[in-house]
Formats: sequence, structure tokens, C-alpha cells
Amino acid sequence: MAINSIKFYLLLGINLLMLGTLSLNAWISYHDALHELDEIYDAELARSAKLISLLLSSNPLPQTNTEPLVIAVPHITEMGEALSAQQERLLDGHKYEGKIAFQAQQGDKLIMLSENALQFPTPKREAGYHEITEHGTLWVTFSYFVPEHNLWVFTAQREDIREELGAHIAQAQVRPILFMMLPLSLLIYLVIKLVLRPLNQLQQQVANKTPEQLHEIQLALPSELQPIQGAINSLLQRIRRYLQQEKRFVADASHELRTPLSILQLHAQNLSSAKDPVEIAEAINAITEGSKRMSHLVDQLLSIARLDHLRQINCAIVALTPLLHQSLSQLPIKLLDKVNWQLELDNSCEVYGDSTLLQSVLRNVLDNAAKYSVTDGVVQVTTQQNAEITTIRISNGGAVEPDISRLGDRFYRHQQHQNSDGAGLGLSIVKHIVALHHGQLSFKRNSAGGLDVTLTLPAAAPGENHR
Amino acid sequence: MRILLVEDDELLAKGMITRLKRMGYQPELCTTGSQALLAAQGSSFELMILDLGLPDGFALDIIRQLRHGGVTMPILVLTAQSQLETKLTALNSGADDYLVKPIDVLELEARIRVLCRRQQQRTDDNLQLAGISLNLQNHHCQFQQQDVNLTLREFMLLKEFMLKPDRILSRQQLEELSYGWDGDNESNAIEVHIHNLRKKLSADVIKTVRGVGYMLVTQYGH
Repeated sequence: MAINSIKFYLLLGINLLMLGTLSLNAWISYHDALHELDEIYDAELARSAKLISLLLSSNPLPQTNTEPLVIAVPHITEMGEALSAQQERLLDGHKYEGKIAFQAQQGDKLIMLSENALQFPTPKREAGYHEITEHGTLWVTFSYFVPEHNLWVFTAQREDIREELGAHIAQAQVRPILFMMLPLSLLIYLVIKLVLRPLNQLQQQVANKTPEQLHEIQLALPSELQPIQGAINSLLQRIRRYLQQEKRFVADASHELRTPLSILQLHAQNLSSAKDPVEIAEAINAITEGSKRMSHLVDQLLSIARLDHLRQINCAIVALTPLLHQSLSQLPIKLLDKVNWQLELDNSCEVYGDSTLLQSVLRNVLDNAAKYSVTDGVVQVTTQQNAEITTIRISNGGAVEPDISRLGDRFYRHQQHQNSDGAGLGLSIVKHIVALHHGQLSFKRNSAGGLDVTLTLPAAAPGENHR
Repeated sequence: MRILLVEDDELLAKGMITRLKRMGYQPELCTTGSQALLAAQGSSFELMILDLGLPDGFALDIIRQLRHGGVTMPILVLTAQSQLETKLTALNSGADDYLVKPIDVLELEARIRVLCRRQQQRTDDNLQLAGISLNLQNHHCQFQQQDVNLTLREFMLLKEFMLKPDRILSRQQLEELSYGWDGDNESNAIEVHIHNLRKKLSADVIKTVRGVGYMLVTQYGH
């Protein structure tokens, strides 16, 4: 298991917390037990003293006794010596009994003492509990005075007895903790492993992804992981779309580049073995056409490459109407005659941009509008300026329905127009130039079955107030 | 035999048609996939040349549909893409071979011959029958060890007869073969070509089956 892992931290955290809680619990129990024991023993000391005083008051010892009466107590087991319950409960008493010692004094004379009270500390003639240290041992003593008989009774008990019992209780508390820790840790580990299994599954699924295998991950995951799965899936989808675009681009580009090359090679080879003058003329014509197509393609690719590296353009305020007229005049006569041009131009319109680049934008869009229009259809050009934006709208009555989402993709051409002389790069160039001008280009199908191309360009330099 | 050429680029198609005709094939051109599908299902061709970059979609689907419908004609795929993936997809869809553009004409010719050879279960490009020997590569013809000079149309007709010996070929079949769909059916050109073939070979080799058509007889004169 890696050190820096959720599993490791969970296991460590839960174990430490468990150990801490249980230890605290044991410590509190130990202290509670000690306190209770103190009280029980204190009470016992007092009770023993009163019992002895009662006995001595009702049955006084003969005054003739010069020596004090020594009461035998059972053998005192050593501290910490393990005894079975049977050994603790002896026939003639309890093993702890020996640890309660007593003395009785009448007047100044010691009249009675227990056997174990020989090491008894010098008792304090002051009623109540005292703690006395004697020969390094701490004793708890209780002094009791009966004034009618001038009798002092002292009971005492060694403090270590109490502690021994307290330790027993604490041990009893700690032992199950120690025994339970290991199996409990193991169980916790298993639970964590089980709970984290979906995470592992997800990780494996993600690790197995290759560019060829980018299907969505469909795991039945807990609710916390579902957003992650969703995010991964949407990322996969984007990658897939991107790869598809790349693939399509390569396919389209190779088609556009290799087809004219094929034409050149095929007709050149045909020409080398041709005898029929018609065949020869046909081949030469095809080679010329193919070269034209190739050079158009190369021109467009080069302008794309130039635009790709163009960071700054020479902008100026340009009047739009003359620009449009110039662009129109550059269209092939064939296209100009194909449709009816309806120009609704606001002659005061201006745009802020590079006139050469903008002219190529307009030429391209107008060329497309005529090319993809029905013959004798209407191509409408409207210009309009409000505030800082100039809008140019070009609509045609279309002969084809293009895939709007792909318009402007490099090498995209409408399937029914793949034979036209373009290579599908024109709109891509237009898009690029418009972006350089911080303008916008949008396409919409219109009711005439054609396309509305809307081109918005800044009317003034940024930051400059419009007149 | 005829070749079905499916190519959307006009100039490329023109060059291929010139070449195929010179090889002694009658190419029929389709510019879209749907046309090609109709053509391939409607009549029989010796071979199909299919450009993968067809405008109306998926050339691969056409291959699959044809194969699914039991069409066994060899399919030679032309593609602009040299990636392995494209080639594999095409071959796995049921294409027999592929050529990456730009195409070398000599390679195209050789591959067409290979595919036809395999389809007709031959090991070389020499047809030998009834004392006639016909080389499909250089169009060289011999009858009884004597060289015979054939025109392109005569070669196309003789090749068809030799590929289908002892079987009746209808006049319409032969006309389609040598003039294509757009051919001029009114003339009696076929009869003229047959007449010339009989003159160059032997009158007994091609038999007229009255009202039905013509047949190459392998056991003539017995």
C-alpha cells in the first residue's frame, strides 16, 4: 500500500482514533475505580475502628495485662503475587484482611494490636484520616477516640494495596483493547478496501483508455464518484471529437492534395503513349486543369500559413461600400451573371480593419453566395452600422444545404460540389481573417433554402469614440 | 468485359477511362455511390474500381452492401489516405485490393490484371482455346501458331468469347461490352466485327445462334 494513499490515511486515522478513544476510556475507568476503592477502604477503616472500639468498650480487657494483646492475622501475600479466586477467599479470611492493621490505646497504654501492626507508624492522636509515611511506605490511617473509656483506636492500611487493586481494574480494561485492536484493524482494512473498490474500478477503466478505445465509462458508482465519472466521460467525448476532427482533416487534406497529383500523373503517363490527337489534346488539357487546381490549392494553403503567423494587422477606418464594389468586381463574370445581385448598402458604413484582407473576405463570401445559389436566384447584400459595429449580411437562395457546423472547416466542401474548383479552404481563410479583426461570422439557413451569412466587424478602433 | 469505375473527380475519371479503354476494357463511370450501387447490382462487371473519397458518403458501405448481396466481382479501392487504418478497413469491408493516390498507371494495370486473373482462376494472362492464343497483357493473338492482328474492339470481343467458351452471348451483351451504355445500338457494328474475326481466325470458330446471339465453339470442324 502506498504511503500517500486514501486507504493508508483512512486506516491510520481510524486506528489511531480507536486506540486513543479506548485508552482514554481505560484511563478514566482506572481513576474512577481508584476513587471508588479509596472510598470503600476509607469506610472500611472507619467501620473497623468503630467495631474495635465498641468491642473494647463493652468487653474491656483485664487491667492486669501488662503486655498488649497481639491478634494474629493470616499470612500476608506479597504484592503483585498472583492468586486464584480460591486462594483469595481463605477459610479464615481474605488475603487483603491482613493488610488492615489496628492498634488500641487506653490512656497512654497500648492494650491491643494486630500482628501486622508491629511495623505500624506512630499513630496520630487526632480524630480522622491521616496519611503517614513510615519506612518508605505510605499508610492511610484512621484515628477514633472514645472519651468515656479514654480509648484511642487506630486502623491503618497500606496505600499500595489500593493501587494494586486499581491496577487490576485498569488491566482488565486494557486487555480487551489490546486483544481487539488487531482483528478490528483487519476488519477496518477490509471495509475500507470494499468501500474504495469502485475507485479502483474507475482507475482501471481510465488506465485502459487508448486513442482507439475512448468509449464512455459506464460503471455503477456511488454518488460521490458519479460526477468524476461524468467529468471523465465528457473529457473522453471531447478527445474523441477532437481525434475525429483530426482524422477528417487528414482525410480531406490528403484527398484534396493527392487527387490533383493523381490527375497530373495519370494524364502525363497517358500522354507518353498516346497516338490519337484527340487523346493528346485531352491529356494536355487535363494536365493544365490539374496544375491550375494544384496552384490554387497551394496559394490558399500558403495564405493560411501566413495568416497563422500573422499576429498584427494594419488597421484603418475603411469605407465599406467601395470595398464591396471592388470585391464584386473581382468575381468571375460567370458568377456575376449567374445571379441577380440586390445591394442595399448604407453608404456611410465604415469598418476598422485591413482593407486587403477584408476584400478577400468579402470576395470569398460573395463568390460562395453566387456559386452555391440557384441559377438566376437573388443574392442580397445588406450593410448597416449601429454604434461601434458594422454588420454585413449576405443571403442567397441556396441550391444546396451545407452542414453548417462544418462550414469554415479546412477542406470542407459540400458533397454535391466536390467537383467545383475550390478546395474547401476559402471559408476557413475568411474565418481566420474575421477572427484577426475581432469580428464575428455566423451562418443561418433562410426561408429561401439558402444561407444567411452575417459578418460583424468593428466600425472604429477599440477605445475610440464613434463620431 | 466491362469495368465499373466509381470516381467523382471528372479529370481523374477521364484519364482512367482513356487508360482502361486502351487496356481493352469498356469502363462505365459512376460519380456517386448510389449510382454505383445500382449499376453493380443491375449488371455484371469484371471489376470495380472505387474511389474511397466519394462525395455522397461512404464508399465502404457500398462495398459492404455489395458483398452482403452476394456480389463477388473484385473491388479495387483507390484512396488518398496512406494510413494503415484506412487500408485495413477497406480490405476488411470486402475490398480485394487498394491503391493509394497518386496512382501509377502501370501499377493500376498490373493490379487490374491480377484481380481478374484470380477471379477467373487463371495463372497467367494467356488465354488458349480452340487453337487461339490471346495474351491479355499485350493483346497479342495467334491462331494456329500464326500471328493475327486484332483491332481493340475485336480484341474485346474475342476475349469475352474466350472467357465464356461454348456459351451463347447475346447481341445486346456484346454491344454493351464494346460500346458501353452510351453506345450506338442501331448500327450493325457487332456483326461487322464478328465477320472480321471470322475472317482473321476461322469461319467455324464463332457460330451464329439464330435469333439469340453468338457462341465460340471449342470443338469446331468435327
